[in-house]
Amino acid sequence: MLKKILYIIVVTVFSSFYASADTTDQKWMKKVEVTKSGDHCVDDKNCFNRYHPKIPPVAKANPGDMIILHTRDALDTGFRLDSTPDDLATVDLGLIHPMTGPIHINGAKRGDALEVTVIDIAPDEYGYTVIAPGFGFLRDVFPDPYIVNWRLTRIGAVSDGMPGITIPYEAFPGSLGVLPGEPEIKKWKSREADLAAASGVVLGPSAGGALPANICGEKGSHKDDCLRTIPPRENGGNMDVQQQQIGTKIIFPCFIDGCGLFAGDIHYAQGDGEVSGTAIEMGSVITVTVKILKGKGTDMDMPVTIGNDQIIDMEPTRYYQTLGIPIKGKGEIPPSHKYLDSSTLANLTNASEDLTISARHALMQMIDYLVKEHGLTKEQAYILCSVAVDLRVGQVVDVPNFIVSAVLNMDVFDKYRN
Amino acid sequence: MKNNKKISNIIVYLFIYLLFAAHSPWGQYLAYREQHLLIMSTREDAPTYPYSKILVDVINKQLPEASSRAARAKTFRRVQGLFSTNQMPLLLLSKKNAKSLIEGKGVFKKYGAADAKVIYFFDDLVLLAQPSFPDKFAWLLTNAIIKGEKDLLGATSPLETKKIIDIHPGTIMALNNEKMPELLKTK
Repeated sequence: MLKKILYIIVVTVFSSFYASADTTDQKWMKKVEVTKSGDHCVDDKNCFNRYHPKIPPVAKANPGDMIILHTRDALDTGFRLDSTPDDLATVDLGLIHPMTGPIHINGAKRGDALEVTVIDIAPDEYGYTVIAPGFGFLRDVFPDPYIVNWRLTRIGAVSDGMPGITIPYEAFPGSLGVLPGEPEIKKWKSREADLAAASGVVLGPSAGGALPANICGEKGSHKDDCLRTIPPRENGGNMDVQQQQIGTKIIFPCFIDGCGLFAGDIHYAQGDGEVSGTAIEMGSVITVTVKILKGKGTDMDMPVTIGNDQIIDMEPTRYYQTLGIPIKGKGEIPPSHKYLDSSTLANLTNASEDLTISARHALMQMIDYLVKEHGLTKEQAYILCSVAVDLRVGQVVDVPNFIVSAVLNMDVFDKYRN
Repeated sequence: MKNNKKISNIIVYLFIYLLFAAHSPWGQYLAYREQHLLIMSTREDAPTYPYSKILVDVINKQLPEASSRAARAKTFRRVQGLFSTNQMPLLLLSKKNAKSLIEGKGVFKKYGAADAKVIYFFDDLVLLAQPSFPDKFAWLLTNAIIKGEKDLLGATSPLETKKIIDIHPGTIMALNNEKMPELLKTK
């Protein structure tokens, strides 16, 4: 009997000790979670791929709530670890980019600003980087499809297609933003139409594959006013700015009541420039919180980013840098300049004050370096530049040769790390 | 040789298309699909992808100007979307699935029907073309398959097979040794 009582006392004491030592049951977060369903955006009521103020919110959140968004990859593809360039040829271009949301922020009005803090990004186990025909900074040099499939952890991204290389985890939202209002749709459509008329590179509203279908699709109520997600605009969206890391705050002007917050196209890592047209693209779970800045939206031209030491953490500890000036081959007009239809430019071998041509020059040298010194193929080198090389403006004063440099983080090579 | 000249003309047409298509972010992607004779297959119809690669090799040997390539769609849904919108006008499927596509039944029931014409059979597989695929291209393609038939296991003329799907008119012309039709006759 005594033994039994002793046993009960011991079990009771120890079990209460374990219970009080466990932290799991302590909760303080108010969570608003928007999950995924189905294989693709079209299967998912929480997903859309065009911008319009009539797209209804899928959830409501208060400032301070943990807003947890389950996101899809940028091309809504279903690529996998054994995907090949043959799979890339069947991408449906109408499905780009699937976004999760929109979220109605309680209390936010048009004219306010929304401060979004990136709290966390949990990566999928798989990501990809592609060269898509006709897309990317050197689309004239790399016309054929190519894909690198990455295995992802928070330690790094590795790939059989890039042996000896590990890309550090520096995740950020490729697309994060708020919905435009009616006046913005009208204004942006008009300016983009003017540019298209001048042969600029513009993709106007297109209903094929557009979601939500009842608003933006072939028979949608506003199909001619649903904007494509490709260009970043005043509402943010596809900004692809890698400094918007976990811990930073991004402030957006609100164009509709409730703002219509969304996220998608999350990048595991990307170089400044995203030169091949894609970063390490992945699905993810991103967590953000928001704060309303009353009346502050009216003073904003574009979103801004506020950070602390995140920008330092991303810097390489050793690097290789190429320098580009605006020189080119005689008769050559880079794809970015074709819409200008300039015979003056074609005949020159040195352009004036031209950062795009300088960037091209720096990038081509970096690709040559990676091929010659590290044994990569040209396609592998271009992909590595897209995910780990930063294009940086050196100076914009030393006429006519403004400098853009390409900076490679040498730590991506396993041979240089422990 | 004469054919090569005509094919060069086709490539010129494609470049003209490219110029007009180039001013959108995806214009050249679409032009890529026009520049290469892409043979679509799908992961969900397993034998189609490996056979499409054999077919591509044969086409490129017999008709190098076609610059043919394999293109693998993940799902039947993607197949239906790309084929029915003419983004990818050539498709390799097993006979049963080909019939389902045309009738909008079976594996395609959820995604809808898409009209298609036969180019050639390969045992249980069938190469389909969009009805709008130009007669001239179908003629050239059929001709290349006939020439490379010894390297294509199970290749069978649709004229010698029980009719389950309409044959492309360009293919019929090639199989009947008629001369190659003109290009601009699009339907």
